[in-house]
Amino acid sequence: MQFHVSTSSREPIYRQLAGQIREAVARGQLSAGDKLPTVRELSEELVVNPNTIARTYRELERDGVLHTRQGKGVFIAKPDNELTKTARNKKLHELLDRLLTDAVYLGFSEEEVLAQMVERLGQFQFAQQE
Amino acid sequence: MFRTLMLKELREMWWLPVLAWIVMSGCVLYQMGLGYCLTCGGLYWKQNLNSTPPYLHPVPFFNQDLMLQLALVGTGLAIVLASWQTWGESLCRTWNFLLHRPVRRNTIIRSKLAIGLTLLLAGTGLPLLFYALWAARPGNHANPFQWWMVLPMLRIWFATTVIYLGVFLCGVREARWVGSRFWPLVPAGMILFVQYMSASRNGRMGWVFDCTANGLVIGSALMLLAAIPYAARNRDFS
Amino acid sequence: MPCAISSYAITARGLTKYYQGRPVVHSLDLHIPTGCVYGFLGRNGAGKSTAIKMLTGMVRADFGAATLLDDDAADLSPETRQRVAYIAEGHPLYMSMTIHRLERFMRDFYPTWNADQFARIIDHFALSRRRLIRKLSLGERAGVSLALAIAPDPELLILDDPTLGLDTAVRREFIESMIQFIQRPGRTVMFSSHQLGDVERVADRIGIIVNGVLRVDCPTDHFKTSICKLILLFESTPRPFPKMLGVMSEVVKGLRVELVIADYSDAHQNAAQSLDPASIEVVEMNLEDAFVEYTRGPRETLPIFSGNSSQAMVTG
Repeated sequence: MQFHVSTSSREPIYRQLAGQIREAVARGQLSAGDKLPTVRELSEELVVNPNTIARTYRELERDGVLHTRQGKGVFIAKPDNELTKTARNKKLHELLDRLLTDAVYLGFSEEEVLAQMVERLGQFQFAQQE
Repeated sequence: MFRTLMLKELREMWWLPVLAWIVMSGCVLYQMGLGYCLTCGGLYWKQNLNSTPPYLHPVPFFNQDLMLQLALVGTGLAIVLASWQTWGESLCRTWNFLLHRPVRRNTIIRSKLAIGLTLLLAGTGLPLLFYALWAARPGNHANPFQWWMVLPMLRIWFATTVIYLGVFLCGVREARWVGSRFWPLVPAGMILFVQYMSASRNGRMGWVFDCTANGLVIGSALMLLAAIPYAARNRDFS
Repeated sequence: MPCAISSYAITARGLTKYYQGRPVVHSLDLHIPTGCVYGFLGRNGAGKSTAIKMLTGMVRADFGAATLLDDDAADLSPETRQRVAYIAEGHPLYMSMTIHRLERFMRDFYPTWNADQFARIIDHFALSRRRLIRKLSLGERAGVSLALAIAPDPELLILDDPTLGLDTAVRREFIESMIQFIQRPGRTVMFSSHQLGDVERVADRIGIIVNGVLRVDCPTDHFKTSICKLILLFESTPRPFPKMLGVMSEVVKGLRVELVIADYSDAHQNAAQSLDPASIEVVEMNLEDAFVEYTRGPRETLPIFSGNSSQAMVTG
């Protein structure tokens, strides 16, 4: 897993990294149980303050993406959906609406958006149907 | 750590007194008759040295020329040494580096003064010592010699420390404008001049004058020694 | 929390310095917690160097007081100086010494001198110890001065614009060594810089000094995320934006108005809506743009950031 930070970005570094880890999990590049580099390793590799890395890990742990095993390291957590189906549905709708609004302003047709969507779906790992 | 600081000063400064030593030795050798021997094509100058008529040999140490030379060489060495030790650090912007070492600021200043004074006195003093030893050995010249005769020269030799300390104070002092920075040099120069007058006239100015001159030299040296750490403590090294 | 340790490595209270009747540093208050990496920013001549020199006891403050590791900064004891490393601007070193000689000179002062650490950094910069300092490039000298600063294993590192004038590669090497240094918890760094990218990488907190006054003192992310650009598009000639706190600049380009706003809040949003624009867009800025906008804004209206609490960091 290759991370990168950009200081010309508007996003704070800890959020850039959190986003990259989330995305990697969603795309299946990282899966539950995978070990992440230690704070020190990542800090030295990316030339970033170790506190920033620690903060990324802390926030992701809070959101249930990661979990720390004392003395062993930081691992990708098993997906654990605390939210109810309705709440998750609501969130998904909001996200889709935002995406579709932008797509309309960018001037895409319905078919184009759908085709793009289907094409990209294959690149992500979704939960199995219950 | 004091030793480390002194070694650092010594390593930077040693060549300056060597230069002064060479010049001063030249002056002394000239007084010893080398000049005469050279002008008479003295291949056997050692021999000639012993047989030259007395009037060609000035009485050792009772010698206005050498006193003036000593005052000039000493002053020059004092100025260069003290400037190098103070403005040298300013020019290379190394004050901040040096003063952050884990020792008291006084210790740093004292190490500079210790080496500076030693080198100053050694630079002009060693040729004089050599001269005195030569003069004290019977048979080397046809003049009377007694050790007290060294005294006037010694007084000038020591008085150059006032110049050194004065320049050093200017170098560590803070001042609003360049002119006022240099004012300690005026009394320092005057004191050396008075001492020179007193010593070179050898008692003819009266003992009150001589004692005053000596007192001035010692007093001002002590005052400067106290003022320098104070100035260094109260200055901005920006 | 990065900075949430109870004791402070550096404190300053009302630190003030006048040069020729003009306050170069005016009433500086600083509290840098132990373990924090503090980026000290400001334009040239804003008073960064003078402030740092007062903290290290090189310049005497006219008013106020400061402490380093709980010791009076105006008269640091040798014991404290042993625990504090300070690199002055431009990496001043003795030009007539070789690297080897300089190491010998420095080693005598520090019982905790770590020769391996020194060697590691010197090797990192690929330097031979026989070389004269005079013959080194600025980047190489920066490497030597960093090695000398870190080898005694200090608890507090104060760097005055250490990457000034270094090329990108050397700057990166320097920053890498700094990152190495802060791996051990409890080590505090204060550094001034003009390289906002570097600051963002390594600083937990930033302080911005504008004309001698510390205007910003908050977590880096907090500053970055709370300065934003508001872009308003109008259909007819826009009315001027009402005067209010936080508005740092207003640029009108025809029907488009760009505002730079600190601490963007509902009040700003409402004010924008009251002008009835066709669209409102809020754009966050990167640190460099935020810094530039902040330091060139009209000075008297500059909002003062002092996100001291840790909550202030959790923005967005």
